[in-house]
Amino acid sequence: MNFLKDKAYIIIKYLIFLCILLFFFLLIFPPKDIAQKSINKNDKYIDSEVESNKKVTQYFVSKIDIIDNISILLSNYNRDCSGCYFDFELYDENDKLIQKKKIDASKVVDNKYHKIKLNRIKEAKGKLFKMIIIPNGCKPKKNSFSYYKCGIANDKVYLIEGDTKNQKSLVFNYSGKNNNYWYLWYPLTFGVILYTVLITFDDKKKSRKRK
Amino acid sequence: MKSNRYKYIILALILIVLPIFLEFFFSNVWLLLNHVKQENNDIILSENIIQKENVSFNDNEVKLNKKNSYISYDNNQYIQKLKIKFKSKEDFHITISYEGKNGLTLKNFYVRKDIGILYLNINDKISNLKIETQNKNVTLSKISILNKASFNIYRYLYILITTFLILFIINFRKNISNKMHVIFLTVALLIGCLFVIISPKLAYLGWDEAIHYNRTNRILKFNEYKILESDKIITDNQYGLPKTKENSKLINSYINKSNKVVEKLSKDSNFITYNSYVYVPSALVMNLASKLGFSNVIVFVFGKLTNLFIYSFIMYYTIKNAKVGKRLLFTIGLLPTVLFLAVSYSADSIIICMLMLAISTMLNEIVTPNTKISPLSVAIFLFAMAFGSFPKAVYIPLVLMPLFLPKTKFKDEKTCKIFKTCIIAIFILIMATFMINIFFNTSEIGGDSRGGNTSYSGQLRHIIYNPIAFICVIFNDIILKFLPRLLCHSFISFGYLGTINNNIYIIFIVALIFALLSDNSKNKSKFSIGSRIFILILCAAIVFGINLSMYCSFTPVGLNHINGVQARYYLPLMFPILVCLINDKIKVKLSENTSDLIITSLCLSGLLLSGISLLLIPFAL
Repeated sequence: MNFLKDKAYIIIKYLIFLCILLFFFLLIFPPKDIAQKSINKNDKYIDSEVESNKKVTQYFVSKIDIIDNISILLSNYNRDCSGCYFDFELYDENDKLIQKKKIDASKVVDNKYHKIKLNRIKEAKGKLFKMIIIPNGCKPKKNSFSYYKCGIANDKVYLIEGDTKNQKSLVFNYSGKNNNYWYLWYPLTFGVILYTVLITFDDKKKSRKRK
Repeated sequence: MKSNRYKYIILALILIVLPIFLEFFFSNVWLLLNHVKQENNDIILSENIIQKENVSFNDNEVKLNKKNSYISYDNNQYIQKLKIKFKSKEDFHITISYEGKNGLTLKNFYVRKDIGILYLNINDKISNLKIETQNKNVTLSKISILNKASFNIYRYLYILITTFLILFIINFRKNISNKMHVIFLTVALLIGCLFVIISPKLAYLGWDEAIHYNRTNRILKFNEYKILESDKIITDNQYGLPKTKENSKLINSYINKSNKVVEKLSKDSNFITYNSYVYVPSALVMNLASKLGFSNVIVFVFGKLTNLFIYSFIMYYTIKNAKVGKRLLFTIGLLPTVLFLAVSYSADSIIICMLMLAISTMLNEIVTPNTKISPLSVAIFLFAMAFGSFPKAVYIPLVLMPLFLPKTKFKDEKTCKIFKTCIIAIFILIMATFMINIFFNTSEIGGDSRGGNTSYSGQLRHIIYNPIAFICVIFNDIILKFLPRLLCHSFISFGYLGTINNNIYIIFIVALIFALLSDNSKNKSKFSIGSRIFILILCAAIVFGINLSMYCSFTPVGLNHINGVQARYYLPLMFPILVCLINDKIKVKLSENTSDLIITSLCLSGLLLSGISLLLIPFAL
């Protein structure tokens, strides 16, 4: 039994050392797909972030050459949306506005994908686009601020050539988007837990180990 | 020795004969009581229809041409089960109504064109059967009346397992108190497996089950991966749940055949986040089963069973090693809602069993103040606490439980101080994963995407500007709703399947009170008042945290009540709250064996009645 405890003590010490190494390793060499902050067209990266007020901005790199339609998830929470609309803007990689559409919020089916017909975009493959969705024309109702969280659940965007041909979806994961360093949390927390366990071993085992 | 052999032979004979006899009885009883001749009849549609609108006949088929077309059939006879065959080029809505002894019954169905058969349990003498379509061009090709007794494998299994468990408990009745953990494991695994077998193999029974299923299904798929049609069927709730065993069989074979790739997705990150680890064991088993060539339904079932096995074995270990509150752990572990969560795609069962393990391990240390703290206990407590709080960090205040440990538990004062500092550091680290999102999310838009017009920062601003209104809202909600949620709704709710209408929850209230009053742990006197108060304060902080988090993430800004707080969120708190109420002053004076036998009987009867009411009758007859 004591032999096992001694072994456990040594293993925990090594694990703590490993946690420290991992922490500094991840600090110096952050995982590329997670810690990415700048967006450029070479990154297979799509993210959603809210820039200001009601505006939702998403970047994506097209995987298809011709885009005729884009399908995004919209929510109107089944409210009376007459007179409300969403502004949809698409920018190219030089931040130049290339398409602008107005979506009638009353025609949106809540929490379903809504297809937006675009003027055909050619030679799109590999290019970076910026998409901005702004809910507009909706007055505050009752005691709420009444911003429509359009596109916030937009964890997938469909780019479509023709009506249905060559449909490609891009998935993004917005967990941890507010905390770009969350991956450091693993070695840190486990390191502290292991250290807490280590200090509860009694002196005898330490001295046995020293011998 | 010889008498033992005879006893086992008799028990085995009862186990074989009794379920067969009871199944034979239940399959025939309604037909015998209603004096019905056992036969299956097809209704000749062209001759028997008394009313019709917008229909045309072709041989013995009826074509319902327009929306709201219907046929009506009136024969005033007993029908046990109805089988209706359809043909259509698209999925369609059907409304079936009839008049029975309870008046008019109206049922709506959304039928898949690829299945096209609908079974309906009626079990009544009915008249004026009306079939109406909400779509165009639906052909009704056959209506059959099934009035023949048939062997129901699900009912038979239910009776068999019930008989086995009763015999098992009778057999162990003399030394049941030493075997509570074994009885828990047997009951949880057998009834859990039974729940999995008889429930529809679709992922919209439990709370947000489709979301949890998708996460489990996708977590170990990296880069670009495929979504099968079967995954869409399993999570698509617009068709409703199959209400008969025949419909379940049809949908299962449809799921098994649907192997077409309907979507290709790609992930931007292959990292498994800390709040998603709970899905990994089920995902591993599902991936393995899929690679071994098991059918889609079996893969789905394996995912659920993995959850059940993890839950059962962790609870088994917890009950086995508990020095205080063993009966409470047993009763809470077998609450119908908890076991239902264990057989669903859900993070809750892992959270509950991990937290129970952590709390019980630390209580073992608290009630033995004269022995030094064991590193194994600390490791189990901290890892179980961390893993239990990863998906929902709101429970992490319980990690502070060791702060009340006396200095005598440590080798010296310095170690005691370092240990307690580390505990506070772990609390801050895990709490940060939860709080960062609330306080550092500066956007106007945010919160839970299901919650409607919600906003973290908007709600926080509202709280800062209206602190008194906020305090009123949160205390009003806690005081008025906490106890009903904890004591009634959290016991017997089966997710979207609802709650049992009758008062089965009283069985569990009695069981919990009895478990509380009959606790004869030798160490309970060493559970100090200070520790109890401290644990209760931690639980109060968690209740406040649950309400605050739902107010910030799920409630539209400025609303005067809190949306989204569910009874199941309080389940992990049931054990620490109740264990603090164990005392020597009010107690039931019964032998250990009798007390354990009463607890086991109450839990088993409540669990089996819940299963019959919410799973067997609605889905497996």
